[in-house]
Amino acid sequence: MKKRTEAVNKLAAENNQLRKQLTKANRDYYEDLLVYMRGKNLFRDDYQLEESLLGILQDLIDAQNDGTDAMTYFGHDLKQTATELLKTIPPRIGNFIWFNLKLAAMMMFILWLPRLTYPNVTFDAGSLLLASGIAIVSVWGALWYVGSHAFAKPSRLQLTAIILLGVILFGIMVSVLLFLKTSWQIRLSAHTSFTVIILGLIIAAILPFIHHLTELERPIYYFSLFILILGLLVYLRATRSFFRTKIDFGQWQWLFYVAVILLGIGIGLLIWWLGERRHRH
Amino acid sequence: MARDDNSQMLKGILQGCLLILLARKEQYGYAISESLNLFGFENVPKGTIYPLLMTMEKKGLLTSHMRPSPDGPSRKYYKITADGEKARQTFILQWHDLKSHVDQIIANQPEEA
Repeated sequence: MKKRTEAVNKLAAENNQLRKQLTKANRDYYEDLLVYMRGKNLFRDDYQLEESLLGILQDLIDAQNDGTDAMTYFGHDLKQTATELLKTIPPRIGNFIWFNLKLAAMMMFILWLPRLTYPNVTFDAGSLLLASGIAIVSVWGALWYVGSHAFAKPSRLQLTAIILLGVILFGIMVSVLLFLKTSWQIRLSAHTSFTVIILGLIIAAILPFIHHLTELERPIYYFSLFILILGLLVYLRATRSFFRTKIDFGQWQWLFYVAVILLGIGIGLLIWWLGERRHRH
Repeated sequence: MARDDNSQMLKGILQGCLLILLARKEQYGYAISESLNLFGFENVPKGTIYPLLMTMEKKGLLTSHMRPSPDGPSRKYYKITADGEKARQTFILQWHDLKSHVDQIIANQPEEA
């Protein structure tokens, strides 16, 4: 499975590199095809998909070099051709299950990790699982939506509705984490938490030397590093008292939680905006 | 509907043409499209050949393998199988039959006033 994932990632990386050879118009045309096929590829063999996409890209570059633009070469009815291409790619349910497992593990890791910054780590595995489930469904929904609208840019109203839905889902997920209490509580002793933090920091120190972090992995890496350092500061004698001081706003405590949620949304929107700006340039 | 009928007919003919071309020499996608252009298929959108090639491979009429390319990543070359060769011969026979019948109908068509 790991070799296969590496092979798929390699094809995708080659695609990213090669795509730069296309003119803007040809790249826009090809990327509509790419987004549609990847977005609609929930249950199919991702290796065969990436192989097809790369083959088509190579041919579009050849056509471009011979003076034929992508639309003239490939055809005007891109959606029809893309749909037919997708039908030829065999299903691979194992892909789908494995992707969801990885996504669930990543979500639970990201959602659970901040708990290490508490002196007594008790986390609610039930609410964590539910929040991860909401995140996974949201990710698949977003992928499906993006794929379905690859050939038709959404209207301002649709875009606003999508952003609003994203914010609501994010709010529900955070609320589940903060306020839902299930009976599936897992407690880590201070000793175990500290050990996990130290191990995490050692891995974080070594990782950049043994693995080249992708664009997607980098924010997760820095976020994890931040949490681990914060967690360490909670345990170190010199900084312990500062970081263990309880933030208590009394009757305004709820406002503090709202501010934290809004801060999280603001950071998310900022990252999205920076990504959009970078993509445009 | 008319457009669907035309595209179905074109796909059937294209499949036969691809079998004939790939029986002569194994080729990759763009080279196949250039060969089609040489024989008068310039106006056929070449996007149609990609799903066709994959379908034919699924049916066992073609096989594919990757060959290193001097210009970048390896390219996928297609070649005909034994089943593909039989399908090619069947297509040629059916085409000759069909062509002669249609030519006969055209020959008996009354002249326009």
